[in-house]
Amino acid sequence: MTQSARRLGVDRRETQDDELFEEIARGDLGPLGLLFDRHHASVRHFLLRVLRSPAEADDLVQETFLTAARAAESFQRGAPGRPFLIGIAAQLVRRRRRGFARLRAMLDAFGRTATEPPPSPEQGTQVREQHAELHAAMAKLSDEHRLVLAMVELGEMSGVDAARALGIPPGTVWRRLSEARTELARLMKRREA
Amino acid sequence: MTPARCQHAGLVEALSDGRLGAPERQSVERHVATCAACAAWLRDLDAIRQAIRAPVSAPTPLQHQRARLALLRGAVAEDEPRRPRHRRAWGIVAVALVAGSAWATTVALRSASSPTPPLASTGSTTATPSAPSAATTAPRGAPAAAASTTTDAREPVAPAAAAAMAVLPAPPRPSGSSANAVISPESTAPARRASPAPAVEASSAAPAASAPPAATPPSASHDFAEAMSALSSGDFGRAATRFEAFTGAYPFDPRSDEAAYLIAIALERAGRTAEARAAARRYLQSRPRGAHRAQAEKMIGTQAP
Repeated sequence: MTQSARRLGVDRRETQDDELFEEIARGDLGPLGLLFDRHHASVRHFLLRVLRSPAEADDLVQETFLTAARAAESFQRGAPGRPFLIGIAAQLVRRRRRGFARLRAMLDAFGRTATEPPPSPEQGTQVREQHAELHAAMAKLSDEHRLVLAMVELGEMSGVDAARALGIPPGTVWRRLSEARTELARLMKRREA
Repeated sequence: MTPARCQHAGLVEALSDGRLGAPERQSVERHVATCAACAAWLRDLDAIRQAIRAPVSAPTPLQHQRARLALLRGAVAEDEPRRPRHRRAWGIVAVALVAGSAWATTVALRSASSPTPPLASTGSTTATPSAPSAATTAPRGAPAAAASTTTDAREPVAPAAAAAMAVLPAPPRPSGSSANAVISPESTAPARRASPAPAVEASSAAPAASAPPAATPPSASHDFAEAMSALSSGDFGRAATRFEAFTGAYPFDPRSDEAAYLIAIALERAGRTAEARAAARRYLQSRPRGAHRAQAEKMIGTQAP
């Protein structure tokens, strides 16, 4: 109680991420809102680049922060919050995809043609013209390639960090990263031409 | 148009990622200056990075606020069954029932009162269990797993990503069944989240449950959850009263800062603007270092520092 009282008098805006996670790990959920304010934009940005629909991205933003709260005790002292959250988001994307893969397999079994869903009109308005191009190009990458690329470009993560978060060798991350960029450059050039 | 790929393309990529040491960087930079293919590749890499990092359509402040509330509501609901692990079994059952009925009430009220825009638009996150979401509802087992791995994960002072790995232990090889293994410990949450059937029954039981504000420690969580659920179900007047009561009853609870701020939000949503401003002003006066000062200042129309 004295602890809580003391905390009331502290400027929360200056508190480091690791301290906030520590408090959450101790059972105070208050700091979760603050972490959300700080990082939800980055997490959402990452998810919008990786997933197909904005609605799906918003769903996983919530899921990411909830998972982070549950896993707060594993947060490293002195670490920044963003890579941690992006790592969790990436894991959730993978998990969700496995669910979709199963669903698709099931549909296939029913003899339907399972094709890539066309981009919704809502997506067209949400993504500005010039970025629609990138979005389309990124959609053509494999899921794993897109994931690795977005993690490194948006998560303040090195390839080694990304490899750890995904549980794959760093060499694989570098290779996928390079392949993703080569393919993206090719796709975007072809659209220009 | 695309120049042939130079054998040093990999180094150029490393340069672009900033993972080269000073001497290496200089030599690669010299190479790029003389190699058209690598210069073009470097430009491509920059263009890709800029495109990916280009701002996405940001959520409006209202959407942000809704998502934030939905998140806290979800976390509070989860926290209820999590805490009493150390207490007696009946406590777990009771709290789980309360959390379950609170959630069910929200759903029931939301579906019943469609004209009032549900506060938590992103509430669909917790509310609608779509087919694949069974796979995505994150692992209740994760904290336990994380806790057990923390000791080794913490030793090699590795970047934060190591922690993320510990959180959701990636299956060594995606063999399909291993994914299930990770998810399966979470048998309680779907049960709590799924079946919309008991919603009706629970909604009738809810008013009775909301009556007695007991003074035992877990009731702080319960009271807060209740205020939150009033807020998200669009009952703003009741939410304001509840938050007010919460700050009075638990001034030292870590959530009281949030609650004090939410009084103002609830009043504003209820259309009681003057009272909302007064609440925001009270918030600013009583909490010189509160987390929501900027928003409170915005509400009363002063410029944030």
